[in-house]
Amino acid sequence: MRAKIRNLIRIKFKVLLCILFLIYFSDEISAQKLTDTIRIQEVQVFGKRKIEEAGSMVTHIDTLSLQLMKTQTISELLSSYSPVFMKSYGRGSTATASFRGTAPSHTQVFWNGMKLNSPMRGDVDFSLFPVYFIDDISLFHGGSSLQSGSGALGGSVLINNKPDWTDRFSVRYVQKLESFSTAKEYLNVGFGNGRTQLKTRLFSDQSKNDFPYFNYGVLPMHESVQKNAGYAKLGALQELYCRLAKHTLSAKLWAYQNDRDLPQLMSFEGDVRKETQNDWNVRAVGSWKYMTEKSKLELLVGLNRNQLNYFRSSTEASFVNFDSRSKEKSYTANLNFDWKPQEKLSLDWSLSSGYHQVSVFDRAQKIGYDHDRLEFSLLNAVHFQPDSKWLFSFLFRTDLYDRKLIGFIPSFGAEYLVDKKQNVALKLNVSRNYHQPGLNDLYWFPGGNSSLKPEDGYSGDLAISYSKRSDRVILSGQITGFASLIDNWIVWQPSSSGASYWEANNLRKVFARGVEVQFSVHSQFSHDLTFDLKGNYSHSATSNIDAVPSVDGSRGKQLIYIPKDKANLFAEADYKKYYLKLNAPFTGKRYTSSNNVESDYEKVLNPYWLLDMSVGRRIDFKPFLMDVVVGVENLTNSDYMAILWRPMPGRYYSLTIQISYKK
Amino acid sequence: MKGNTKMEEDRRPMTDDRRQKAWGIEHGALSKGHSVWGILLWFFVVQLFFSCSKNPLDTVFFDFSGNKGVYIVNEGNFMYGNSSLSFYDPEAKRVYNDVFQARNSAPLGDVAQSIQIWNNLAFVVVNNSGKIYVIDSRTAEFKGNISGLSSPRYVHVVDSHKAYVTDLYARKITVFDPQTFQITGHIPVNNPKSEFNQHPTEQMLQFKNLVFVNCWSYDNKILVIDSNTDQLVDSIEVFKQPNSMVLDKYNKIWVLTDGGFEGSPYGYEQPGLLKIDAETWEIERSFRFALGDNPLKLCINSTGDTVYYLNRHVWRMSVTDTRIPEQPFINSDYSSSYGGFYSLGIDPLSSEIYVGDAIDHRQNGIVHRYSPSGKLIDEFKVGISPGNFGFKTE
Repeated sequence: MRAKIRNLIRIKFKVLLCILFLIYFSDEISAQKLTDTIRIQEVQVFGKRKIEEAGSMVTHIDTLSLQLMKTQTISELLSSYSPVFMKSYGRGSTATASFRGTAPSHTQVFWNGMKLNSPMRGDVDFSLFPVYFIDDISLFHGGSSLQSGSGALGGSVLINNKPDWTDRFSVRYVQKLESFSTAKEYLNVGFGNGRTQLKTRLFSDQSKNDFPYFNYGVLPMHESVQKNAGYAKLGALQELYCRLAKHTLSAKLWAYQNDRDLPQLMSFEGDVRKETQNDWNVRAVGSWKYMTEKSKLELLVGLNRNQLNYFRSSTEASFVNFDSRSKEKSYTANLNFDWKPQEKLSLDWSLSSGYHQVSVFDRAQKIGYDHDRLEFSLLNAVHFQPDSKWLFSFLFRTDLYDRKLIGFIPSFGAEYLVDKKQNVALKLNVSRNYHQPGLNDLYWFPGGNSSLKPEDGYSGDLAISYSKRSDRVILSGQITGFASLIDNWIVWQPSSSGASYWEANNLRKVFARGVEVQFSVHSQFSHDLTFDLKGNYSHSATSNIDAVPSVDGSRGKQLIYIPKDKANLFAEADYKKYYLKLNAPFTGKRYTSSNNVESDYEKVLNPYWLLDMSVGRRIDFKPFLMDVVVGVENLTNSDYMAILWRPMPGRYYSLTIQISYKK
Repeated sequence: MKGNTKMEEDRRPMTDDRRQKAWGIEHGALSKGHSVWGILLWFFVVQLFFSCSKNPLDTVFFDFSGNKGVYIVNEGNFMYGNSSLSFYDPEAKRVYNDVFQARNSAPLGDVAQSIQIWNNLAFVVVNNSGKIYVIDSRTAEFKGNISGLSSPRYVHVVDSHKAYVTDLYARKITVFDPQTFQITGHIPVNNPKSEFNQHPTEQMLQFKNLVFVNCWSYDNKILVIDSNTDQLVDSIEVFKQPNSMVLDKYNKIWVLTDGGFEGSPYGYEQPGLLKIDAETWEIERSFRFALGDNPLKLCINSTGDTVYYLNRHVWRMSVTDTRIPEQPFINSDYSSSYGGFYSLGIDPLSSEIYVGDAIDHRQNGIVHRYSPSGKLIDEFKVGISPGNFGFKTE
């Protein structure tokens, strides 16, 4: 298979070289600046005051960023353009999110209205979502997430697909060749008319991922190459949209497969191991919308099936340690009704239900469990604008799961426009939230604890935002302070009974607080030259305030692997048909022990800046549009560890070519 | 080349943390006086470094020759690669943490399981890194390694040219030369009759030419190996899941079994303690604990007449007793659902008792040192999850 990939890449390189040759000797180049992606202005939190988002802390990631990151995964997108910390095990590996210093299961993910969190683990692996498969992504921070569903103690991520009603026929093909025998291909075909739209997206991403690194985890230290880190991803997304007068129907089907080898730690020197993870997801969502001037009724049904196979064996002894299959089936049905009796009042009711079935069995260990969960959630929300300066929102949810009733989960938001001219607004949000234990926490065998209580949280946010628009410059910024207290935080650790397995318990009371800063500048120097600068910074301290035994040094200390500081800077300059983009994500110091020991060897992960650069050129080959980009990742060749003793690649390169056609 | 290996230049970025480490500020841990020691050590290091190395701040040199003491193996967390080695000098009541990394500039590896000291060498078994690091027990200097193992657990040195390594998954015991660190052979222990198809070999003890090996996970056997021929000669069936064993002064093998866990596909039964005659392999006496108990870490004192084990608390029992004790010997004052006594070691010279407490298994654990009569002598902080003790007796 490896040889096949290499061959494939070699052929593709030749094809690409020919194309490049063509581009540079073609006189057909016009001054067309845009590709087929419509570069709309960023929709900022404080752009137009949407009544439905009154008092909500929302970040919309603009289409420009989506376009730039189209060949990456959502994990990389969020890590670059949002204050969310992504804990990634390396290139192509599992990536989970920590929103405001909370656990991965505290970030809820919705795809076109359907919740995607694993009912077993509670989290989402963001490395399984290509940016190419999404049209819109927004983040609801803290208590603002209650609008879309409960359980997001950190926040929620809403991923959506949207029709382009102007599309008659369009094709877009992207090919990216990257170091370490990596080849990515994307194809998007859309056609339709003003009433019906069909869109098909396909992608494949394969890599040997055999990057060189200096192994200082073994003696003698030596130059080495990453082994067993290859992956192969394949995916398809089919969308269908119809609109008839006041009715809109849509159906979306997502199929995805990801096979990856799991590498060992740098210190590993044992016999040959085979360790693999295979993921399959099939998900489908159908919706019917009925819209009148003042109301909207929406019915949504969804199905989500996931399977994760994990395998590990010692090849020499042909001893299989693990051979597990985890199957999840989730069914969703939601009914929403929005009513806007007048311009300044919006009411919203929503009833959502979910049924999840989980079946886990390890054929080597001969253990597993089967369980299911039925859940309901009812939302009542009101948003109103009493005068031109104030906006208010109040909502509450009532949840029922596993025959447990969580009666009242409220959220209150307010927004005050301090200065209309400068567009300065103050926002406030206070809420209560809770998070139900995952089925693994309850029933994993051995160690699951069926008497776990839900994690219970209170949170508050205060934000000030500013935006200014002139002919040549658009400036915006927001500073948010937040605090949340989460009780009954679930932790797995060995119990004091001396049992040989780990157990889940409601052990911690966690206090998370911090600040998020976001800003963006867009300036148009001339018709030919534009400049964009965007940045975000977050500081969050997340500490356990309930360490029981007196010797427990974790009291008041930062939770492990969650950085206090995280930042990102992004700059883009466009001159005629050329552009230059720089992206510099920063990850602060992270502790790997609960007592935050500072100076023991490699027990603190050092902070690091990375710098990615890309240079591109847009070409118009009527009726085709073309985009050629050369990228350099980790330009400074920085040596860093994202996770203890897992190597990361140094500087590496990529070449991306996009060809698109639109009728 | 497995012996003395010249290290390549350390290319890691130098940070304040690492500088501080090299200053020895964190070494020693509990009392303030230790930083003085750190500074002295630093001067020593500087002297050495500026004459011979490009990397002046990295290596810390130790000299434990002449000191009796105990090495503490800190397991660390699975897949974190953060195991470590501590050395405690009982006379000076001083602990040196991270001695392996301080001396050799490389981490110990992932989940260190055990240590065996022999002839100024210490064999540190790093379970999930599939290797054994050999260090000089006087200086903690890296001497070589035995790699390519599957899931190694314990080392037993038979004689000056033969040592055994047990393994959870390899279905064999690896034989190596403790002087050259070369693998010289294997003893297959495959058990095709078992539904779980394995003999997960664990601890070893020697009586005459016979090496007894307990098989813990999903097993109930004590294997008997003839160390002259390196052959598996027989096995003794005991209760479910024998986790540790010792040999007393009357040549009786004591075996502690944990009975598995509730719902285990291998089955679950009351934990037990057995007394087996090393000569006849006959089970002479057996005791049962209550369901829900988790007895582990069976140890014996220097005179071979009293066994100790953990079962939330520390318990002790004379080898002539006819019933298991009703009252703990040293009480753990833990009442919360985590923490408590995690490991146990008895000094073979003084019979002093060392108990490791891993707290939440995510932070530096604590070792409590008691006199043979159970009086607390000292407490000190070590690495993450202190799990095994290796006594340096010369």
